[in-house]
Amino acid sequence: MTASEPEINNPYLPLLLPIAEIIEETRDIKTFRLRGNSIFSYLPGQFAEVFVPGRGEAPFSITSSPTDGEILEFSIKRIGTVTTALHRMNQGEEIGVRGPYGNGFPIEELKNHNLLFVGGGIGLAPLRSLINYVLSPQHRGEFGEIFILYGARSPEDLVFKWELGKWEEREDLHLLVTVDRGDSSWRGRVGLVPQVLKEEVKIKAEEWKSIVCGPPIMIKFTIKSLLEMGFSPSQIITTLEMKMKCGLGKCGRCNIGPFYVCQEGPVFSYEVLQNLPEEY
Amino acid sequence: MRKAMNEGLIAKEKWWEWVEDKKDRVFLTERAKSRYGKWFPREVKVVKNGKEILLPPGEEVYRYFWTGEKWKIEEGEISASSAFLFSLPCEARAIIEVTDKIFLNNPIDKNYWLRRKSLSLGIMACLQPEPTCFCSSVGGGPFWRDEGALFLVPREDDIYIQGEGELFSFSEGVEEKIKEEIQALQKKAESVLPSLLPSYFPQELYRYFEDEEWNELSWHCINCGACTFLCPTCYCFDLNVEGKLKGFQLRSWDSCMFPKFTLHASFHNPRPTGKERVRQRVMHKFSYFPEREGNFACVGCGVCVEKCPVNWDIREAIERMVEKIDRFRT
Amino acid sequence: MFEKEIRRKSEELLETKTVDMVIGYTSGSLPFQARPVLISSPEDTEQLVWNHFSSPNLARYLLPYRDSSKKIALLAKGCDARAVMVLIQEKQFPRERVHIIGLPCPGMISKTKLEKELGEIKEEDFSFEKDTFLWQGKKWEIFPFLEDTCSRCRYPNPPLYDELIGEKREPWGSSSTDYLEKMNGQSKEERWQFWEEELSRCIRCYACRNACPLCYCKECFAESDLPRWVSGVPTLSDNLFFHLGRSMHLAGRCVECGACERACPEEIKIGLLPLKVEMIIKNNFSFEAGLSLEEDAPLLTYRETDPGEFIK
Repeated sequence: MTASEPEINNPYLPLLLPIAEIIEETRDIKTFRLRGNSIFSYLPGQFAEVFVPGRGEAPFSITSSPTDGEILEFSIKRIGTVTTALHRMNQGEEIGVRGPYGNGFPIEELKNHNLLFVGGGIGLAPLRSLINYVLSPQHRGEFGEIFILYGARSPEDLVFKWELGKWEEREDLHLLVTVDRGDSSWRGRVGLVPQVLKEEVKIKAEEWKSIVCGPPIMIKFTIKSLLEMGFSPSQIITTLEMKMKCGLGKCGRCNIGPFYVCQEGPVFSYEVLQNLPEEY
Repeated sequence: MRKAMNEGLIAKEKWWEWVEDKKDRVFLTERAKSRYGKWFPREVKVVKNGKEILLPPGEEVYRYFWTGEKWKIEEGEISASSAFLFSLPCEARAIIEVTDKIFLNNPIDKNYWLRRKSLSLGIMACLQPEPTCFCSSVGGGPFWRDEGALFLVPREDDIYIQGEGELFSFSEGVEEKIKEEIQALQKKAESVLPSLLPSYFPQELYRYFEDEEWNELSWHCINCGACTFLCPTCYCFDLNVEGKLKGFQLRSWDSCMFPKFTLHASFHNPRPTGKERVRQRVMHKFSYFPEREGNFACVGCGVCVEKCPVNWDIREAIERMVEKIDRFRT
Repeated sequence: MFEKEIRRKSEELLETKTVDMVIGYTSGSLPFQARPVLISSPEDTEQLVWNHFSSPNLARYLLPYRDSSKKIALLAKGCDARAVMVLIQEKQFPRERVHIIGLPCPGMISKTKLEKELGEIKEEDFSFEKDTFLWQGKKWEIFPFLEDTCSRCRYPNPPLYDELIGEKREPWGSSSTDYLEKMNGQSKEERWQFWEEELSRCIRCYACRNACPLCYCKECFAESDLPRWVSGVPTLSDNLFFHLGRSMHLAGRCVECGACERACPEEIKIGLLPLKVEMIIKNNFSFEAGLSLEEDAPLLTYRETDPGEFIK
């Protein structure tokens, strides 16, 4: 044992951050805006393990962009123990965050390309991190045309409704929002995302890259549509939802093929995904 | 190119002097005890394998409590005083070539690191492999040794040692005759063991993921966790929070054999039946881990084969897949 | 020991398409061990064996086929057939879909006991008969080498079968013997010491639970997160909670096959716990599970004649 040994930190220790704001997106989805911390710096597409003291810990993708300043946002659907406990919390309370984990989106590869974002339901959350990064003043010039196709089951289920309006106003992107089922006040498009994609997004596939996220079945059919439109597997990027615990590539839960989703993922190109066992 | 390792001979009396002095800090694995128990005082602590010491079945990762106004998080206390673990080569290899690679890298797991740096390994040669042993087929061997550890071959009245360790401070030189004797013992032990798996095995096995052979292979496994808990290399764990206003994050052993291992909160389960889980265990040990780290995540100790309640034999699974691969390989 | 007859009968059942598959035993990869096997074609019936090491309870292998339409022939020892009966009563498997090939059981031999008494042994040196075996030129009685679970067995003959291969036999165990007498006679401290020692060795691998044909809950209480009854750590208190809980959940249902005890990799005498519970059921309700399709399990039915002294 040498005298000058490095100080090893316990990688499982969470950082406690206060909730600055809670936005109710839908009846079961809330966005938590935490006051960020300069020691927690991340890339779009990464995720963090959120710790609710006394309840548990769960992985959530970071929906804010590093260009948004010192905030950290998570959009969380109420579905189990930890998420229910989170939904009961109030502004000012503290929650633990550790990370960031994962590979994030391949930003260098996406530069100088036109980008087609396809999101379904709460799948827009991880995409939003990259969208706002790309749309930020310091980075907009690095990317070509932007097309955002977003759909949900019904108008009630659309998330980030407050931001969709801002995006719609911008001149440097196309936004198309659709719902599977409209309601009496809905004036927008009605149709399933993979369908609307084929019918309304008329683009020349070679000049574009597509980033997809949503429920597994929507991803499956969206990729099918994209391939029919002429996209090659390496032009399609998605982010996998996987049961994860440690986030450090040690507990074994997210192991799929030779990858640990928490380390080499959760962002994968369809080219790589095709060669992985279908255990996700 | 391995550098030449120190060699030496320890007289029986010197060994006993040393081990009596250290006996409170000596761990012995069950298998090493059954072979070499008479070389150790009765008081030494017996463990199943290195995993029990380095990655205990349950441990606090950190503690938290509510002060009345806010939450506080504290690291648990790990007391790791220097200790020695004497085991067979397979058990030592499980630490050096599998769990060390996972827990000492990317990032370093602090608790494991604290225990590991104060644990010196003593690898005792395996002179008589059991019928369930297959260490040589996965890259190990009955006389496997490592530069950072001490390798011992107890003889009648002395012990041949090789490698690194404080025992070298009172060892004598080794005659050529004895070195030859040791080599002959090694050859004898190796002769009863199967040959090394082909180098193309991890890559080829990956292509047989969808093969129907898995249906037949996995049929009689009852998906308990015996193999994973007794295995010296299986390291999967669970993290759970225990305690409301005051508690800790608990790390406990988990098993890929349990259905809840991959169950999502939405009730979607990518590995819904035993077949997927059995396949995962074999693929992880013989394809995924080797692709990442360069060696199998199985050391061929044979404990799982010995203890399986329904005689599910991982060697048979491997043999069948090798046969299939060789048959269709161009 | 009737291996030829078993193979012939299985072949016949498969050829005539009376059943879609046969579940039985085949020789394992280790000496003194047999393993469960699924046979779907008549030619493969040559793999079937039947000996003193056919230890797992095969009724457990019916469970994955609960929702299928396949008809299954099951090789069943006395205890296995009792377990099938309970599965039928609990509506887990329809009577019409299982064809029980009853095998009066000679008792399973413990490899550990053989090694303890005889030292290093090789399978080819043995010749096993029904109640004796030949080794090193001498004839040995099987009884001292039987697994504990089998030496106390009272029902070696299947109470339910579609056909019987072999001759019905007298049980090794007797109904009047209280196999827990010695333990019941010990003081609380002695009994606690015994269980503390046994259950501290438990690694909570759930081999006992998974080997049991009657532990078929989709989510076992031990795996529940909300509430979390036991943690994943094999501490003595959590182990005690799990095993006592499991034994109570088997009350009035356990057929004392001992598959749990034989499956345990740590060789814990875990079968004694459900045995004790079944003795209590027997004494209070005069009921033993898996002996008659007509009799209802006492904890699943209400009768006005139920003893009520414990409710005050």
